[in-house]
Amino acid sequence: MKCLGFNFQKGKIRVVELKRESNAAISVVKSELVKIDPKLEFTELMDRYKRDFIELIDHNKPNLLAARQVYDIDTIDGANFQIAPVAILGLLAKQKQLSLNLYNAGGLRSAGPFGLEKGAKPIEAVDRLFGNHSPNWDEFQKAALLVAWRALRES
Amino acid sequence: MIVFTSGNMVGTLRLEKHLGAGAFGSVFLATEVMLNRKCAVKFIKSANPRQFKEHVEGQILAKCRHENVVEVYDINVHNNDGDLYASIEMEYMPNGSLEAYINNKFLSIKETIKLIIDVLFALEHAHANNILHRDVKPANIMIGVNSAKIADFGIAASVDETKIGSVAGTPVYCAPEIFQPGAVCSVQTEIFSVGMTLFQAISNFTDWGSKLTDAKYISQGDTIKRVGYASYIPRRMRNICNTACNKDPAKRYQTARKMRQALEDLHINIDWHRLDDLHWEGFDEKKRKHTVQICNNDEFIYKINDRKKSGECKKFNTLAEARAYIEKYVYDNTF
Repeated sequence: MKCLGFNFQKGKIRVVELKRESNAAISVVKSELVKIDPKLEFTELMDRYKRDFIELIDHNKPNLLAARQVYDIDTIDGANFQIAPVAILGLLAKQKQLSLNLYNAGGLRSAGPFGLEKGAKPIEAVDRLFGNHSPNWDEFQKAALLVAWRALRES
Repeated sequence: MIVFTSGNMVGTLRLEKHLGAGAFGSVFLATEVMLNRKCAVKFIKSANPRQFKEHVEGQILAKCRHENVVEVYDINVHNNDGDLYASIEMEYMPNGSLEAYINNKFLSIKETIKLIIDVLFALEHAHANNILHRDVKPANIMIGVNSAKIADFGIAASVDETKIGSVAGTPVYCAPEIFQPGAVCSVQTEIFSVGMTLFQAISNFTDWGSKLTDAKYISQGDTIKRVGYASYIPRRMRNICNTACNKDPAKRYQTARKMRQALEDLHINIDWHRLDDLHWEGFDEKKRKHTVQICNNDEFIYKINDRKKSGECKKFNTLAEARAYIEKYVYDNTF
């Protein structure tokens, strides 16, 4: 089973594809940073998100989608680059009959849903369990992995 | 007997206007009367009715269905006194091709980036479906409402199909390796064609004949070097063209997505349009109008929202110096 995990920043889509084998082992298939011109007009920007998501979904053929959801934000940039793309992804998930699991920052902090020992921080376990997938292997990219990881564990 | 002439009916198609003809067939604007839908219909006479394959272009279009690929509606076969014709009904694009567009108006760097990104989305999709278009050029890029769509998959082929020695496409857009013995079309030859299309669009010319007097430069991959860039085209844009059109396929963008991502990285500061050689106008992201102009043959005037910015205005000794400065100004202030 494959899951595409998304995390959004201004002008960037962070994408990690995870695969769960039949023995339940989960590994990284792909880690990618997709750039989008942040100066695009709003309608162009939304269209660009849509087309990028379609290409990512059509090429990688995931069984499941997951994204980091942000709601406690009060800037235009936050609305355009972190909230709106989740909505576009939601529409496409519906069209393509894929489930979309959404997690907020709090949902990525607790050890339990990731099967880690109590008190462990999931983001700190990423390198040890999944390796380093440079370039762009920073906390934003690892958050894309975390959403996919949790979604696969819950599916 | 079928007569392919405007006003005639062919099956359920009423032919309205002849749009063009090429080596592979004739294209008409038509109305499909059952659905009362306008379409562009291409008629292709079968070269060998026993191995009828003229419908393959329509099948490829259907396989590559994408919002940046001209849509195919239907394919039919017509028997005309023993001669077989395929008809491929496609989406009609009333705004015409990118080539016609460049002929009629100045295409800004921002507009060009958007159109080429559309083309690269289409090719990315086609390549993922194992299809090479093999004839990317401005004449095969149709301008829609707010987007470009790639058309004419007449010589498209499967990525796996070995097309050894086939000089497919229009020479000036062909990668140099296509002219070598044993040539094979690939994603990289396609990237080269997109690079040449990008070069032509940002340069705003359609007449290669006046720019390129010796065809040997094409087969050597030296076309851009020979023709040269207009001085207003910014360095970062030139770099993208040069990478896409590198003589060495290994040094080009390896995928349509990689080239698209390079274009996404160019953030327009001012979207300049050339009104004439001595007058440019552009808008920034705050919708402020910037104007640069040569007045009195030697004076460079800069205005924002029609208000002169005296600090940036200059006087020159000659018109040539002033003209060079205006293009340098556009070069420096596009990104």
